[in-house]
Amino acid sequence: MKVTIQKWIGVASWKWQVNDDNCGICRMPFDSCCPECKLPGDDCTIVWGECSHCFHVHCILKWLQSQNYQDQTCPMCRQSWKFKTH
Amino acid sequence: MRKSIDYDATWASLRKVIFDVLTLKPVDRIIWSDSISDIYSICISSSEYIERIYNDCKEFLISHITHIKKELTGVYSQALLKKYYEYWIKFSSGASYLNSMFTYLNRSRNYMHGSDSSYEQMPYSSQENEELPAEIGQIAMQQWQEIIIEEYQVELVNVLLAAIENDRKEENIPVADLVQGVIHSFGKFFYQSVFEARLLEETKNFYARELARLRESYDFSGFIKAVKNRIDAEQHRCQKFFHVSSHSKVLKACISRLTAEQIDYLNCECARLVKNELIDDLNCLYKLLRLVDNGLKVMLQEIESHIKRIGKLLVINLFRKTCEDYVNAMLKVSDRFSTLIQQAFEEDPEFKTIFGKAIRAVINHSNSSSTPIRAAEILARYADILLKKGSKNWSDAELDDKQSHVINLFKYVDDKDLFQKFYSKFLAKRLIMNGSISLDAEEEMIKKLKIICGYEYTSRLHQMFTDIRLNEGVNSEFSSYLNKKNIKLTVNFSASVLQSGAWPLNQTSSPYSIPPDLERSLTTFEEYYCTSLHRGRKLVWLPYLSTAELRMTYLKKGYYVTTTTYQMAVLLLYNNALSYTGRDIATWTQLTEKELIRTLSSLEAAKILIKENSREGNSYKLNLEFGNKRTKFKIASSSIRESPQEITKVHSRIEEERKLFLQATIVRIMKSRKVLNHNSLLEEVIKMSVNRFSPSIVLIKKCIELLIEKDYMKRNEGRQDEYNYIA
Repeated sequence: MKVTIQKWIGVASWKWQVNDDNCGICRMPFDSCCPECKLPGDDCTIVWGECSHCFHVHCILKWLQSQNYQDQTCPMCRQSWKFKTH
Repeated sequence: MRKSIDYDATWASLRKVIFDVLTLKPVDRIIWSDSISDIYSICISSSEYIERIYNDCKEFLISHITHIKKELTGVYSQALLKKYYEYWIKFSSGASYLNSMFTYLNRSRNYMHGSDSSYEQMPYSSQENEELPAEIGQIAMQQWQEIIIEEYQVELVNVLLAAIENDRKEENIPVADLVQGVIHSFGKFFYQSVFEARLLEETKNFYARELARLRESYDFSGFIKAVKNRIDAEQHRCQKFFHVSSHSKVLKACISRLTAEQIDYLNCECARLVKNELIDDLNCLYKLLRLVDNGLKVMLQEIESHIKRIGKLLVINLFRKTCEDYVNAMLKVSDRFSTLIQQAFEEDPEFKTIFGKAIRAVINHSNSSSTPIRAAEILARYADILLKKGSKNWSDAELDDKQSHVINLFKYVDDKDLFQKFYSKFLAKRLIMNGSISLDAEEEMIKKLKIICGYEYTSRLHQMFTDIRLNEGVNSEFSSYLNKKNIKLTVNFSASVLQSGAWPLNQTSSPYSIPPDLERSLTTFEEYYCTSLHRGRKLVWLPYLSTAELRMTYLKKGYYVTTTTYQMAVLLLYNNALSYTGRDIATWTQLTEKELIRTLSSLEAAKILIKENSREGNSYKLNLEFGNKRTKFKIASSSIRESPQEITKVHSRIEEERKLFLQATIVRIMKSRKVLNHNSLLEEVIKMSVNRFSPSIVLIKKCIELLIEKDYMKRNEGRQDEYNYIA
């Protein structure tokens, strides 16, 4: 071998791993943030429900607050909403 | 029980005491007390006696004053002034003693004439005027003015004015007490109705003569200094001689003659002083013009255009110089004129505003309308030089100073959004390439920017820092993850993971043939990051920002070389052969054509590869004779150098962003106001965008048109200059 790799300093950017491009509530792209926030990323994260739909965390919380406490459903499929824990 | 009293006998003895008091002869304490009790007895015996003693006393004062008047006859000019003053001082203090001796009488008469109901039966009450009757002391003053001033007023006023003129000429300077005392003796009525008018007239006349003399005997610089001294002296003189009610009038007469009426002459010379930056003269002239209403207008204009002229000249000369030269020259201009403002204009806020306005115009000046204003870019580049590792060895204090310099100029930059673009681009490069002198220095700079432009402006920059800080943890956790899972990577691997929104990552990556060793590392890291660290994220590798360290063992000496990912991909090919055609390299490495050309030329320039031209096309041979003094070195990547196209790309991107920003701002304003006229809308938009850039009216209008087309708002049908928001 004439040339071998000693070291590699990689740079990567991360994106949300989502099926849909836009948040079903605010219609903003997941790559961007919810309308309340200025910057996408850690401060405006995305959450998944057990029904596998995902939303901006701020959007879904707002939705859930507007709903009856006993009857919290996913705005997309009307199944009862449970946060998906990994 | 009222004691009967022999009025005539009592008055006779009182009369003698009154004379002694008035002429300031020594009066025995017992006699003084007796007189007071005599006056008391008279006052309580009957109201008739009260009037009688009052009138007798008045008679006595009149005859006393008439006597003094006779004493003064035949005395003129200075001598009269002096003698009058002596009599006056004696009389006025005597009269004030007398007034206190008659305190009880004064008080009784006040009661009698007062509207107090217990004295309603008194014959005088409510028929006489309601004013309190004159006290003995006041009677004395009144009589003095009626008898003596009436007689000598012409002569007295003339002598006084002559004395004041002497004081102004500084010849035979009169005694201040004397002049002030005599003026005081005039009393309010005479002072206001006769003396003050004469005084003002004389003042005007004197300064008209004085002005002619000063103009003749001095050059401009001497003239303004003399005028300044004149005005200062007159101010002092007012305090010394005149009643406080006249101070501003006298001063105004003096100032209007010496400066306000000369404003054209002064303004005309002002241009010359400004041009030559004669600080002392400017200061003097400033102090004069400050006294005139609206007097500083021309001076402000001159200063503004002077700063602009000098500054723009400098900018034009600096057009092709380095950014350090530019910043230093700008600082010099700003220092030079801020010193001028400080020394000549005593930090006058109006001048400071003008200074800011002019410096702003200079910094945002462009040589022609087609060339973009470069200040934002240059400042960002300068900041990059400051914060880049290894450019200069500055001490912390020096660095802090230089950062403040950038901020001082940055304040005046209109295109703050453009600065942000360049700054974040350079910052990203420094952070990714590990090229910052220190993270503390970087944060200090960002803090300073935040003070000027607010949180939002720097939030992206902050986010970049947070990412870099987080990455340290990510890498150390990754290596413990490897240990735990017992995975051994052949490549020493570390990674920076960036949040895509915060970083200026807009270059597209080219694919490349990932060597198997590296690929294993990449997938291991991805697995770790996306499953055990964060869920719901996917990683996109950015090879154009990644770097590799290669060990080259085919030469006489072993080398460690830092390369870009693309250079690495090419060099790894040569493990299998010594020469490749360009086409083969393209096929094997899968690089895009643009990236391939760039990479090959950089390797050729570094003399690692040798280019050979042949009929079938170019081929590249490994240079086996390669040598370098150092065992560790870096191959420069040609992509680091920016082409001018890239800069214009930044400009056009900024233009787009501005349009979006303006539209959003207009919608926000219209949404809250519902109806707004054109001018107020423009005003609000400009106010809200000044921290990012200063929008041109044309651009705002264009955005309004766009919004009308998109049905966000419409023109009011009745009034064409009003807009309605459409919900």
